[in-house]
Amino acid sequence: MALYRNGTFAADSWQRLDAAQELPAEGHVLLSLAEWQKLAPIKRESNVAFGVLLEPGETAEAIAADLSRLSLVAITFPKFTDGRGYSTARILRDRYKFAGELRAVGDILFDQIQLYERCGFDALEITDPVTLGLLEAGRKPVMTHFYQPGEGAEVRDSSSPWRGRAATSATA
Amino acid sequence: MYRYDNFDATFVAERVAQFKDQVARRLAGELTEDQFRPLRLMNGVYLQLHAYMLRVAIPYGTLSPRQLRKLAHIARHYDKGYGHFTTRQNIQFNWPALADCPAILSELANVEMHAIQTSGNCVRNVTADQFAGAAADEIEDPRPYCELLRQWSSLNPEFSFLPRKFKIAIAGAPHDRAAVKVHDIGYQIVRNADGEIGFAAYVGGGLGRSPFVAHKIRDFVPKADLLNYTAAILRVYNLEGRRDNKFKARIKILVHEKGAEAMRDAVEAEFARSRDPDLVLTPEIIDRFKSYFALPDLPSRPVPAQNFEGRRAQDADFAHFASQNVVAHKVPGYGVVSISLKPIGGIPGDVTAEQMEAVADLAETYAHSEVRVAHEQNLVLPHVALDDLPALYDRLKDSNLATPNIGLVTDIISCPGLDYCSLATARSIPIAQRISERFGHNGRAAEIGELHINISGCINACGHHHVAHIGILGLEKKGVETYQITVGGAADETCALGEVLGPGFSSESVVDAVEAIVETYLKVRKSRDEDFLSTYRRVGAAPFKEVLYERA
Amino acid sequence: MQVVSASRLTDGSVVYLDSRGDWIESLACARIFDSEPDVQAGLEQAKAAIAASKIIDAFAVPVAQSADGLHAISLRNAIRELGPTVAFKTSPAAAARR
Ligand code: HEM
Ligand code: SF4
Repeated sequence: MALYRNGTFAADSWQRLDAAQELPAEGHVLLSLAEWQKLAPIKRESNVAFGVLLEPGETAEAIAADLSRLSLVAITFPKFTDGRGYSTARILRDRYKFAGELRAVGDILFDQIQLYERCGFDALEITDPVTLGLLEAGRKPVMTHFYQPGEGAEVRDSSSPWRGRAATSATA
Repeated sequence: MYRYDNFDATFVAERVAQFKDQVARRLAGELTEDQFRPLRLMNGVYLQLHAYMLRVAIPYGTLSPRQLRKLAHIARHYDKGYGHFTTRQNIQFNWPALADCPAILSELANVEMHAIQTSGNCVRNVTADQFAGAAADEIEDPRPYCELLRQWSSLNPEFSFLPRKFKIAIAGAPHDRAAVKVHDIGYQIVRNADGEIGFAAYVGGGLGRSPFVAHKIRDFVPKADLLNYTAAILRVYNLEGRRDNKFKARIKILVHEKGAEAMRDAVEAEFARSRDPDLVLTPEIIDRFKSYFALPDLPSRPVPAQNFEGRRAQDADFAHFASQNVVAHKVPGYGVVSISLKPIGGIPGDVTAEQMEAVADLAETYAHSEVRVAHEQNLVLPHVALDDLPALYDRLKDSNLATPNIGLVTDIISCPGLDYCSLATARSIPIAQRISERFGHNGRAAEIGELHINISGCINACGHHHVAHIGILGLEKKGVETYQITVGGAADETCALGEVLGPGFSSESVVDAVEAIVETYLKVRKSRDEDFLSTYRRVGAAPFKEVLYERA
Repeated sequence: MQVVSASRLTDGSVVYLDSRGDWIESLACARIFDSEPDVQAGLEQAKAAIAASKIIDAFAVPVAQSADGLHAISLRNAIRELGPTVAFKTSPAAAARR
């Protein structure tokens, strides 16, 4: 597994805590939605940076009120064909203006990377060996023209307001 | 028609390059079949019984002669010389090699065509009324809106991995020729009390193993909101649609389980919350898209059309063709001509490369260079001067394309069935051929009048059998093909699902059973003016059940 | 009696496993498996060919000897073996090319 963030591999500073583990005094801590909801308000006010991991079926609404306290929202994709998390991501970015890290976790394949990025994910936890191989070899997704508004570094195309181009291709 | 700008051309070229790379990775063994399958499907490449199949989109059923010639070229050069038009305004090639598919897609891109999203759990080819832009009864041409939806849904990052496939259709006239009520979303163009034009929104229709007629969830979606409203429906579906069972994953099941009212509330709430200003269709944008589909300059022609009337008076065959295959055009002196791809005893929807080229030539000579594809698996020349019809008719006859049977019992919709399809449980084409032979001679079909027979080779219902006046579903029982018959379905604005008459029939007896139903209809109809569907609606299924099961 | 069939990766053609371990187009020359363990061994060979990206979608096909040779028993497999039962209209030029 490797963390691919904003187009490069990066170290992962986040620690996953389960119910039995004690909350550390500081650091980056990723909790399940249930664990987060159980966490006493006083503990939420510690020096720890919190993240919540949403499973499919768990909604953006469930953490909407807490987003100012969260530095990371991770969304699980149990199978690459399960696309619920794309909508969850867009709701977090567009409706709730979440500006922290948005991370996809699970079955993530090379040919979907742009879909993730364009829904507002800035980090992907990748396990698929073929995908890792391609990324390590420096391969990038190829599409530069998009027919609908997306998140991230895109510029509007003059031809229609919903059309966009990858920022790099527009400046090239 | 719509012309690609640089943006569109680059998009499709990039997509072809991407697929070329994916195919290369697959052939080199770097992608497993499980990983590759969804990628090839998103580019229209299926595996059937004998070979791969490539499904090419014909957006809203509109083709230029140049595009049709390219399809002919592909059929000849990469396939076995023919193509098959489907009920979804697509054309399928039945024999391409995987290694050739990127080359085929790149040839298609040269004529502004593609196979993007002709499969997969995404928004499929958006379909429209085949008479769009030409029919006299039309409120507005649906194609500009289909094109807008096509663009917005292409590789949409949020909606490329939906629970299941998603089909949208738009009808432009009160008489629904696009079967909008059996689509995931059906938009019917309507005029509201203030005289504005917009869309009535139907959601949750579909066929397959559990057929449903769609529910209307909104009387009027303003044009400006078409994309945002569609996005709201898709988002509710993407988040709430079932993913635990492939057979329950279509939006129709969500609407059914949640209830149409709750679905409407959820969509309205989502729409209110997440309206994206970039997706609002301004009058300028709408006008621009409408201009792509402007009616060609049709020079005024004399009315009545003397050439046409003269031939009609002398030539009964021509008169029959004119009454069966030609409908009224918006512009007086013109007609909309359907070219039947249902020759008597032929394979519904199949056309050879030579026939495609012949139609392309005829479209240039007589029809302002436009061709349409109908969901009934026929072609249409939308703008023909009636005075040119005699000459057109003669040339159609030369190419074996003048079968005068639109809407008749021999104009059968049939899916490929077990002759090609790996999901099939029975053959459908041979049944269609035999029914066509049975009724196709001595004016019998014309005497019977309008009667739609649709055949599917399995429960997936690609042949629309549920919404046929007489529907035939091919199943397998203990290794033997058996055919279940329904009556009383309709795909138009009076949409209804057919009623199963009883136990199935063997391949040998199914054509006799259909004939018995038709003979019964002829006996009980009040007059020649009472067509099969109206008669069924008056008398119900009882007389048909009786003739099939009780007299035996 | 069974044979093992699959689709060739490059063109989707129907192929059968023969006794040399090759994937060939003719059912008549396919290797015949008489016992269930043999069939399993054949399917294992298919798995290896799938992993090597030669074929896809392998499965066992029950066959029977008849007067005109070896044929698949079920209608579906017979259609796979012999092609569509309908006479599709191929264009002369394409037919000549093939
Ligand atoms: C390789 C060939 C094909 C395959 C594998 C295939 C597969 C399927 C499946 C699985 C369904 C059921 C979907 C569901 O209920 O969720 C379906 C429905 C449908 N297909 Fe096909 N199909 C094929 C060819 C065709 C052809 C040739 C046509 C047009 C003649 C067609 C048009 C449709 C239509 C209209 C429906 C029903 C509408 C609906 O989606 O509810 N398909 N197809
Ligand atoms: S209805 Fe069944 S047999 Fe016919 S094309 Fe669809 S999946 Fe194949």
